[in-house]
Amino acid sequence: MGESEDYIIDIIGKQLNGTATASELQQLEAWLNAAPSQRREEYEAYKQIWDESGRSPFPGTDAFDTRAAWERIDRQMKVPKVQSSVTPALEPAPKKQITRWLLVAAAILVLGVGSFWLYKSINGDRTLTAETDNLVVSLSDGSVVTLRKGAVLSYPVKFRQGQRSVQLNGQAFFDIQKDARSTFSVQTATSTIKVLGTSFFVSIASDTVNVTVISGKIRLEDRENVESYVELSADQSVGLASHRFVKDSIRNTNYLAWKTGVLDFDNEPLDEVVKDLNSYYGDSVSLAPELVPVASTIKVTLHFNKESLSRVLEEIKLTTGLNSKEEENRTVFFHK
Amino acid sequence: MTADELYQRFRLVFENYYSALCQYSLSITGQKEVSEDIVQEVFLKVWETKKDLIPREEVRFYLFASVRNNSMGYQSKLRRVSIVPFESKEHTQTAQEDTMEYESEQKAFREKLVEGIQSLPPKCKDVFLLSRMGKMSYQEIADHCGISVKTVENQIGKALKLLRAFVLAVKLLFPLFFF
Repeated sequence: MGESEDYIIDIIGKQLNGTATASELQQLEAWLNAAPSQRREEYEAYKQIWDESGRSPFPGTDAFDTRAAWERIDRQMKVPKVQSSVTPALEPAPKKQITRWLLVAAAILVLGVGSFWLYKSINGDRTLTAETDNLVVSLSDGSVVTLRKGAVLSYPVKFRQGQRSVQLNGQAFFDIQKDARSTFSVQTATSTIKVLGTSFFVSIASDTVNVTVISGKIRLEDRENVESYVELSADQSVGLASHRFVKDSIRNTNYLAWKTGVLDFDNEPLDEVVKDLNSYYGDSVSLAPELVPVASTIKVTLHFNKESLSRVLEEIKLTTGLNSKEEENRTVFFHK
Repeated sequence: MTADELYQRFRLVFENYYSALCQYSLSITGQKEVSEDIVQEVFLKVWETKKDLIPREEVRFYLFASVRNNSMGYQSKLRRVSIVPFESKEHTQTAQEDTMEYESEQKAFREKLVEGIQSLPPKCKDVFLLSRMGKMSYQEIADHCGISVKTVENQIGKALKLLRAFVLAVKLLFPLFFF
């Protein structure tokens, strides 16, 4: 491992931070290419430090009890009177009860300034729609669901003992609290996903359900024939369409980009890259016709973290030598 | 934004940043309880006098900046040197029975990383934490610390370089984790 000149490490910092200029990126590329195997490894080490130290919660931060602190601060806040659309009877209720209601309501967390939430109360069930942005929902058992924009989740405000069940339409990432006594299940129109404690990603499009398991183990059942099921463990993915299970392979972690903001391409064919970009940024990129047949031979190795599309395109162009033009609100790649 | 939405938004900000802010303050003050007090005080101040900040992206900047100022204020009062350990999981009573094997390597890496961050020179640590924990832009860090963007770039580079030394130490222990 050779000592790198400091300016290159500064540039790596800027590249990871997403603020490197085009000429700096070229310097970095040249530096990497001068001794690829060893320098790639050095770069990866920096990247891992960068990614890990930016994790939330920060490594080791469990030592602080956010929940207890919130309860303490909540008591000290002068809570404003709230007009409640769910239970109007609460207004004249004692103060204690209002605070408790607010705590329950506040368990619905809203991410992003543009997003908003709506709910209705049916026998203590709540339906949430991620209208304009991703939506993070904390369930009463401590499980956390991240809904992708457009997804709809119905769940009980408080799970009954031994019964943890929610309904989903759209795409969502589940991080389920372990509870050996109580299975957690996700109902979709055509299937039931059963888990103990795990994290997984569900995608529902018309009558097709796709489930990807990140950790732990799940069981995916056909709703009309519960005898028909598959069990999945970490890093496995399966689809269910028309009562048939289809095994999927996991190419990369970009299917979670909508949640993490991270797009990772490791020697990825350009046509797959374009798919991932269109999934994350909305349909906005395509390939010129003459490029389509050769796209799978053009490989991209790049890492992006909450990057703007223009910046991403810029870096792809730099590393592939392709050019781009604007056509009908889309960016089209073509050979120079 | 209605009062209720504001309240929920505030709670979201609190849940997202409380822990990181405490850790950040702890890296300056060296005292867990003091850090928690400082952070809670800052949050209360936002709620009482700066509600307009809550829905805005700048709230993050304000929080880290205030916690930094108050922590440093506390520190200078005590005239202590800022060499301060991060609270590590091992020292807490709530050490979880998180014995899943595949996690242990990553855990070792993180512990090493935290140790590494702790040992960075003060200015370097400050800049690095504001960037990674505070998610501040280089410009924001520069404005806040009264240094140039160029200096921020250098300090981040320096941090990466120093931290890699720690990574290499774990790598010898767990070579498989990296490939």
